[in-house]
Amino acid sequence: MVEFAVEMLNITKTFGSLVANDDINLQVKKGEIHALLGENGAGKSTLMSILFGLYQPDKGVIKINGQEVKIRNPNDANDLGIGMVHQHFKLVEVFSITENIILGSETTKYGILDLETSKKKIEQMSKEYHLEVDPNAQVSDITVGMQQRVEILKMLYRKADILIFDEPTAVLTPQEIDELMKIIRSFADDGKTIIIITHKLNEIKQIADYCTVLRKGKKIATVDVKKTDISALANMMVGREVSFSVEKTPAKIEEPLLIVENLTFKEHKSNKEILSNVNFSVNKGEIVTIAGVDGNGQSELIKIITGLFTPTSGRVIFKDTDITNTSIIERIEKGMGHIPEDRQKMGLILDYTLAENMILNSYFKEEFSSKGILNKEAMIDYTNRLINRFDIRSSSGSLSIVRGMSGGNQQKAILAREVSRDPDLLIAVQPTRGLDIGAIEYIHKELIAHRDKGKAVLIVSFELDEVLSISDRILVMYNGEIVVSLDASKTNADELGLYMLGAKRGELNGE
Amino acid sequence: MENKRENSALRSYGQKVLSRFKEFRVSSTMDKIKASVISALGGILVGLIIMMLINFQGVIDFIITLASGKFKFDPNTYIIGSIVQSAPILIAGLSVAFAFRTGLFNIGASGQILVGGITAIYIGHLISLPGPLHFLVALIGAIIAGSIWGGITGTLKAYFNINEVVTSIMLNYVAAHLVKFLSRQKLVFDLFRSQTKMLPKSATIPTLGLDRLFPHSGFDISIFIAILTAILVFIILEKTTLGYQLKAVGYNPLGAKTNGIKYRRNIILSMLIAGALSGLAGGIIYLSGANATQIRVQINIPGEGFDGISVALLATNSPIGVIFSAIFINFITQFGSLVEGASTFKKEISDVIIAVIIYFSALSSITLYYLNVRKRKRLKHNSELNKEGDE
Ligand SMILES: Nc1ncnc2c1ncn2[C@@H]1O[C@H](COP(=O)(O)OP(=O)(O)OP(=O)(O)O)[C@@H](O)[C@H]1O
Ligand SMILES: [Mg+2]
Repeated sequence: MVEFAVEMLNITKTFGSLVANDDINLQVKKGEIHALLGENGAGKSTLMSILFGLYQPDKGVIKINGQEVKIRNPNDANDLGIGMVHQHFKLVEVFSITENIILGSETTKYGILDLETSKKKIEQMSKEYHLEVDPNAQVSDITVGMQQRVEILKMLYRKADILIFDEPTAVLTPQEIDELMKIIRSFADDGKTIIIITHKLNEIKQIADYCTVLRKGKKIATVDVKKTDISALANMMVGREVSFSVEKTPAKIEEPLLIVENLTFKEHKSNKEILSNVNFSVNKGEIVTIAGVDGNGQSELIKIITGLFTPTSGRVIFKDTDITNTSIIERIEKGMGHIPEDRQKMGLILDYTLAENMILNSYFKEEFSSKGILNKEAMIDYTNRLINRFDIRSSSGSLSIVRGMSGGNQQKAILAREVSRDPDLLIAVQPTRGLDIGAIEYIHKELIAHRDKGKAVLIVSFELDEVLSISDRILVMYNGEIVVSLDASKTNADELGLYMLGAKRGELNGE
Repeated sequence: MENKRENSALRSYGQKVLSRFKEFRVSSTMDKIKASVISALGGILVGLIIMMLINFQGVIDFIITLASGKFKFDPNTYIIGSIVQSAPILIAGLSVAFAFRTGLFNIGASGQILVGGITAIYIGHLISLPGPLHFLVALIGAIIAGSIWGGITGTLKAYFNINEVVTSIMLNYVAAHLVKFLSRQKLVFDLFRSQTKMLPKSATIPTLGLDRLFPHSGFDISIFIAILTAILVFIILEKTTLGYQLKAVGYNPLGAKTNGIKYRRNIILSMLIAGALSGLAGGIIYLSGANATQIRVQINIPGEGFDGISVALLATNSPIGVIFSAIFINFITQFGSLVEGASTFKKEISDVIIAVIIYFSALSSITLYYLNVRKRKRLKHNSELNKEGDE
């Protein structure tokens, strides 16, 4: 008989009337990399939260290394050697990296925090596992990639040997993903047991030994990854055929809608130039994608276009008017839609219900309020329509508190809100981040349909596949500049890669 | 190093408090009511135990005195009075609760009360108008003055990102000194009594004869004003687009901003409204006829502003809950006077009890948590949203 490191037997968990986990069995051998696959809201995070002691199952047994255990809270999980990197990181923003890593298992000397010793230990671990972090930096100042490395170090610091990763690659750039895959592989080689949730089938293929598929709270199967191909996995997950290629007709490009002129942006504190003289335009009827490695100025550029930042110099022209200094709400009213980079911090009010979130930038419209009084029925009707159209799943429909919704469904909610307002210019940063393949297929279709209505779409994406398949035109950003403008049908991943790494500069044709 | 450690201890404390408040947001109304009632009862119980510990004989004497009928218990004073005189702390509680719901800690209610109060007093003395109109004008003056005072805090936060707790505390002292100066002007100052002059009857709160119906109760229409205000605040927060925006900014400023909700405007608006409510409380305090409070010579920051914090906390910032928690806290205060009259205790014992209650309600998320654990055992399923902050 094989010894399993983790066994979850007949696990059932309900939230109100919703069955998030329905009699699920999961068995993972020591040293194995086990993937968990399933649609948005299938119950993956819930199942792992149970293993980590965040939720108590209604029914079922958990065995760790053959022993039946009760995991009442994350401290119990720590004691059993279980660590978890959550889908949405749980770091304390105002703490330093060191403070975050030791939080809850601090080293003390005469009852006083001994930060120096901890810092040395973290530096050493960071070298040993190739997880580069700056122990003194404050979390609010570091990139998502580094935040994730902090979360990983946090697990290792607690000597965890069962590591749970909840969609670790959703927020990473392709380079960071490669790096992470290597690290995870080396953990498994060291004999650690790994459970990884991801929506990216090629990652499963690349790294996992076994894969358990969930659908609507039920377990469908556990398969040997080597003997299963990607499309079979996809079918199992959504219960139908999924097409991976995006079908679209050539763009019918009309006049420019958004023009960015000589945009320069310097960071206030360091006076570092983040954007240098950026020029481009987006025309009606086309999808323009900004490709590039994260951190090359994309985030700032979008924040300037949407009104969150003011540029140091240069202009933003939208529908023939200079909007460089107009308010955010005026831009929205003028026909701009924005799917922001951080769904939880920027896109949603997590403590509001789904219905309240769906009207976040239109609550003042006649449809939803009159004389300053909100029309709750209209809000709920509207939300129910979007729930159906975009297949947003949650425990209590339009009245679900968004904080309790699955990550992918939160993203779908923002997409639904912005797309359904039918903006003339839709700006989307990583629109399909955290979505399952079925949902990605649907969103891509929506974006193309939006374009075909003669509207303009501006996307920021770090995923080359997505960039190549959905765009009409690709702008590559490197070091605060747009280094090339390419016709999407006439380029390929290799060429893009060269531009993205700054090895090549090109023509800004048509600009 | 030392400093940094202290900082981080403080910061982690802040984080904890914040996560507690997050939990409030996601727990159901029923749970909140339960938690408040448990805090109140727990506070009373512990308060009584403390009373017995410090002066056991006193407690016995108190019971004997009451039972023997030597002490005349006047229900008009102790029961009706407690209810009708809770108006000031009720409205101050609304001010604090309103700000809280929109993400701001208005610790400056006292200053806003003072500024509102002195404005009302000036209008009372300077202008002559008939009956209730005079009162109404004075009250509106108080509201406007309080609102301006709150607005200063809001503006400083919105434009210069200065923490509202710091500015509103400092403005309490500014208000105290300003009011001291203003109250000593010849127009309003009564030299013999060293306090502001009695107001003309036309400017005081109408009683509609209720004070004669219930003698010694101090009954006037202020309690009705307070309850109506609570209902108004409830409507603003729950039903209007204004409340919707303000709460959105309170929950997630960046999220609200990204979606076009004007952050600065809403911060200022929120403090204007919170200030207006405190100003109203100030008007009610200093315009009351029978048991009028006068502004005295020594600098005095009125306690009602701080009581408002207790009231709001006990009510978990629900405007309707504030009605009950204000009356309850006022009961305890009255109980203090009762005890003082009938035993060797001093009336400040009520402050002890209130303090314990506040501790209990500050910890009410823990109470809530245990409620949930019990429920979970019973129902075997439950939304465990409020565990998020716990790892
Ligand atoms: N705390 C909660 N309260 C209420 N419902 C919840 C809670 N947590 C999860 N759910 C519901 O349970 C279902 C499963 O959620 P879960 O987060 O496990 O999905 P998931 O498989 O991780 O999806 P995703 O890929 O989108 O992250 C969802 O419908 C979600 O709305
Ligand atoms: Mg999830």
